[in-house]
Amino acid sequence: MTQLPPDDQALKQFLQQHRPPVPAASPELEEQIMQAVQDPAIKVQAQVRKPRRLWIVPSAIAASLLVAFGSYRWAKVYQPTTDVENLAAFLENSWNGTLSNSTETETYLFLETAFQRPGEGVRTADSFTNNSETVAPTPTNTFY
Amino acid sequence: MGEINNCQVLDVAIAVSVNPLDNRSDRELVQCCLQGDTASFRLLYRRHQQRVRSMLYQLCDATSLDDLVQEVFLRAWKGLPKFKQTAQFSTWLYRITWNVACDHRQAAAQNRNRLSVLTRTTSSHYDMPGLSHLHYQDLVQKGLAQLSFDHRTILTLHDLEEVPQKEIAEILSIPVGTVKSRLFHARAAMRQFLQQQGVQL
Repeated sequence: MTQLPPDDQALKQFLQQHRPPVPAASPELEEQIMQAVQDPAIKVQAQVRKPRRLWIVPSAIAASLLVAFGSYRWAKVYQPTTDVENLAAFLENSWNGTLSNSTETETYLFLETAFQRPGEGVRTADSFTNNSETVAPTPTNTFY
Repeated sequence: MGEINNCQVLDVAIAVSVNPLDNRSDRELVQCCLQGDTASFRLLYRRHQQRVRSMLYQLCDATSLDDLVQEVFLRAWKGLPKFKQTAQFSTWLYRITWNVACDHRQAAAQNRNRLSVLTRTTSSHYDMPGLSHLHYQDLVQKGLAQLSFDHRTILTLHDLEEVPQKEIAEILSIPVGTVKSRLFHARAAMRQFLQQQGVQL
């Protein structure tokens, strides 16, 4: 237990020594309290627990889950297909645009560079058609 | 024939005469009370009524003391089903006492404006030791009355009723540090009042 400072100890002793006496209880007080306790109205309150509204919690959770599941299903069923269609059209147009402005040779070269080995020069169209050795790339017809 | 439990067996003895030395714990008595055993509640009343009464007397006035004590024990009886068995019954009961005192204080504050006359006792000389003791009692009572309600509560519980600080913290639902702080200020205020009245500690 914490040791009180000397002045606090003196104050505490003074208060306890001179504390005002508590007036005595009425002789009937105990019986009055016991009669009140035995009153049926109070007795019922004391012995019967009030039904707690705990059923609200699982009901609320179940309702929330139901709403969440329903909205998920609704979103899945009624998902708009326009986005997918737009994406497909965009890819198609982009792909066509890329190839439509290039010549047939460039397209061919583009494909050939994919097979280029490390340290090997870029093969040109001529190197394939003439069956000659690899030549230095020219900036006009090479793709990196 | 229905089964006779311990509470009913003891009720027979209690109905004749309540044994003040009944060694059943508060918790066991509460269990019997929850089964409708009012005799066990009588035992609880007899165990704790003096301390409850003393607390109420220090925190409130003496005029309605019996009514306040009755209110405390009726609230306790009604609230027994909500009482957590892990807590101490005395702590729970003192919290009810404190709540009743707070309610009474609020009701008294509403009627405060009606008070037009404040009785002031004139200072007098106390030559006899008995009269000196009465004088000091009067000073203590006045000193407690001039404290704020929070400080009076702390001083009453800790210094007069000797309730541990941890239990006071539970009763008042405040941290232990706040109990210590309030106790420090309450003692300082009380000491200052007593010094003004000529008491040197």
